[in-house]
Amino acid sequence: MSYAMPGGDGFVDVTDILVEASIDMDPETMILTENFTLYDSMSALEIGDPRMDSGIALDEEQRPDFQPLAPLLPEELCYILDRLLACEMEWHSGFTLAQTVFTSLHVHQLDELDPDTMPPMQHDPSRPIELVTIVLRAAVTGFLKSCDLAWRELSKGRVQDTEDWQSEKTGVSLLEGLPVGTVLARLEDARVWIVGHTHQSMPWRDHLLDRILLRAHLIELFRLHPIEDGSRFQTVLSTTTAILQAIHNRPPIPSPNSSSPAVLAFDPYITRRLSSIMPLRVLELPPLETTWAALASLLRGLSEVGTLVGTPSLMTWKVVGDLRSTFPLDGQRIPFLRSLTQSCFFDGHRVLGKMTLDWLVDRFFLESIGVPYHILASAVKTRWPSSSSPPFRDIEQKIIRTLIPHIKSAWYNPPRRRRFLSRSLLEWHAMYDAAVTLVGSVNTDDVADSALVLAIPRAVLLWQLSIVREVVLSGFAMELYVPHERPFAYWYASQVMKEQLSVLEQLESVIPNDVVAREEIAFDRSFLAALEAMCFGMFVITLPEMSCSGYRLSLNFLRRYKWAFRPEYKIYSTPLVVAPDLDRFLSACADTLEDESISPSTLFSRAKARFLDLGNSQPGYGGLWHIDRQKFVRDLADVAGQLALVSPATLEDLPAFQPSNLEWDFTIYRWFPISSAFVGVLYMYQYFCQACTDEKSVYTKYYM
Amino acid sequence: MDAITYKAYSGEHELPHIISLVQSELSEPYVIYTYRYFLHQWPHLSFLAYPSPDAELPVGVIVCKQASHRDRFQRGYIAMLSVSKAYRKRGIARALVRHSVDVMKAHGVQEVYLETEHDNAPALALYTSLGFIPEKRLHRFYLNGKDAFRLVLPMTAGGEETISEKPSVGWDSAEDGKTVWGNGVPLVRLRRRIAELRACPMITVWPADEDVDESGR
Repeated sequence: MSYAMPGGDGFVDVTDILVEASIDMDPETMILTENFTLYDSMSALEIGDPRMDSGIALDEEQRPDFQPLAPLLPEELCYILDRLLACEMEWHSGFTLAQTVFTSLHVHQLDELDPDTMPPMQHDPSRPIELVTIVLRAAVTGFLKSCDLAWRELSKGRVQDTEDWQSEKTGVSLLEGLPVGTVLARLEDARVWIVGHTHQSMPWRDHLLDRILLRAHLIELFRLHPIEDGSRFQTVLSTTTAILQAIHNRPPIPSPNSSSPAVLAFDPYITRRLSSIMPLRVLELPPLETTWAALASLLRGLSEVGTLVGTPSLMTWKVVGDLRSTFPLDGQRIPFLRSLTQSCFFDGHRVLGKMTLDWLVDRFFLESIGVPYHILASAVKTRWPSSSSPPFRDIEQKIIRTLIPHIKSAWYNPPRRRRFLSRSLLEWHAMYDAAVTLVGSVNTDDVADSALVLAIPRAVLLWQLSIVREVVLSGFAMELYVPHERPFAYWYASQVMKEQLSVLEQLESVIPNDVVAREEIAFDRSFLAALEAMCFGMFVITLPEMSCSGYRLSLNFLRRYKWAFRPEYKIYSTPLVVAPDLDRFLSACADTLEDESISPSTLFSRAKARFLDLGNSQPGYGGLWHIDRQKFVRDLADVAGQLALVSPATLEDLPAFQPSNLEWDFTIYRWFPISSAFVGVLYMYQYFCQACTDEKSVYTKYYM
Repeated sequence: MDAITYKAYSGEHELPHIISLVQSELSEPYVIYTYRYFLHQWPHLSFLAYPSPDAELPVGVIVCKQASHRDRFQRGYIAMLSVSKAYRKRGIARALVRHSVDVMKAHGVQEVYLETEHDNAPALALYTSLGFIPEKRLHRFYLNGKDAFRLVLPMTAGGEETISEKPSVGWDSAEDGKTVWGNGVPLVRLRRRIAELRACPMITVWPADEDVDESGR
């Protein structure tokens, strides 16, 4: 195997210098610079090793010289445009620009496509050069500008660089300085040139036209702000969706042969010629169907953003955020959408583009317990014992500071979100402590007064407990728990939900009858009761998994629930409500095993019935997402039903039950295992659905 | 069949064998300085497994480091662990981890951690059977876009348990660490097991940990 040396062969051999410099060193000694890190050692490379040397050019990776102005047939151009879109969608999915967008060689030689500077060329009527100089040039320009506009949103810091997405441009331009208007004008020129032809004079004319229109609309979508340009955004989104549907309805483009200039217009090995720290693996682009599906998902996601920004309800944002982070829809969790959603919720100045920060405080109480904040504040003020004002501002600031990142966190990647939520619990506790301290200073004369004033800390506590529940249950979705941790996690989640139900009960008397919050709370009470029964059932049937030593159990427990053992909690006088407690858990284990009335299968049956009852629930703050929430609840009813069938009916049967026989695959139900007996049925069902979908129109698959 | 022999790393002459063992598992190889970074600074934490006392070629290796974590406590890290395919399922990986962790513990380490791909079932089975827990999931941690788990084995100075200790009653432990809880084990043994756990001295103090905000990578 021979390697070509990029930059020529004018290198000087410096081995002698290194040998001389190391002459005083003993064998096996190693001199490390101060603060030499693992990263430093890993950043070194062995020149000439193709797996480490990003600049080496291998013979088998050599490509014919690229001819940017090679004339193209219309169908070849369509192929290129589809590949560009595939590259763009792969970049959106988290791969690097070098592996995707920059594999287009026209990107690197775009200037040569300028019709004003091109050399004279022989005319081929089937391959008019304008297809390259006008149409392809406009399309590549638009492609790069789309990436540039997306890059700007992604780089706002709301999603993680090198984790959610890859910002590295390896020194290649995304046409940052070129105005969008110029790009759209080029695409318009291309459109005009195409429509100047008939189907006879240009085969695949309409295919080409659709693709140019699609690109122009995509640029508009990336440029428009869902709030500031609301109606235009919706119009462009509808048109883009219709264009995508039209492309799909047309006959497929034939694949060019391997020597076609369309195929040679992409170099998957381009990373070796770009400025990158280490070699990147060659990325195989997915089938075109996958690209269309990814784009359709992006459009559906933008549609959801457009709807969400027109829904000024804190609780609806919470409902949608919880739904989407727990059960993400295919392709709708791409980093661009997650960043844009966060940007729309809070732009650093206003909420949803127009609301002041105080709006958050008002909605927090109104939507959590149905009581306007000014009524709660007034109740405190009139009973305040001192001449000084109650410290409302402190609590308001805490609510604002905590709520904004909390809502946004639903659009972080799931592991980040879980870590964020764990960390945020201290701030929620600080808020709860401030609220408890505030109402503790109030003189309340009667029960009604007391309930209204106490509603302030209880509203905070409801949110705090729901976050604890989310932290615990999302640990299952992320497959974090080893078997001996599962009983505690399910038991603890059930205890948290019991406390939530108790707080909701205490709030009952202050919630007005005719408010949306009452609908929402009614939903919550049924949902929590069902989920609590389910988690308690899981606690019981996983008890046989407590197979580690007490030492290991307690060490791992303290590590897992370290968020609750932070020393900062000690500065607050209010204790953490439902703190994780291993002693209480072991007592609960002992009590449970002595309680012969407990029937795990009955617990699951009860949970199923309660979940099914929610089928008739009012939408509450679910709003347009009520249907999605109902589906989520129906899925939980399904899994509860399955577990009821396979779980022991009595405690006497428990030791014979093997939790390890359950399918601990959380990709299906996120928080719960599935009965192995149902896995085969489920896969058969999925196979059947897939077969049916394949038979149906693509429209059904991607646009419904 | 000879018993597997475990020896601490003894010098640069073993490096080619270590590279050979580890490299076969990696799609993106480590540069030689990465090996040297570990082996020259923490040679006592790296062990090799030989198929017999006088064998020259190792069939398994573990490479580790130990350092102060934010000036608060000592933390161990398992950087590489590899066993030749022909010698797997003989408990070699498990023994290698135990050797390194025991030395780390003797040097005051309070936790050991490592990262592995989220779908590396054999590695996860091994480490969780030794008491490690997947503390964090790391989104798209690897260049191939896969998630990773950060696995942690919390320990305390002077803790009484050696890793993978199992309770005395109620459970039989398979080699892969799976609990074997067969038919016919009466409820009373489950109750006794819980009573045994309640009687165990529990660790009640955990040092303040602020690393939740680290990059996670």
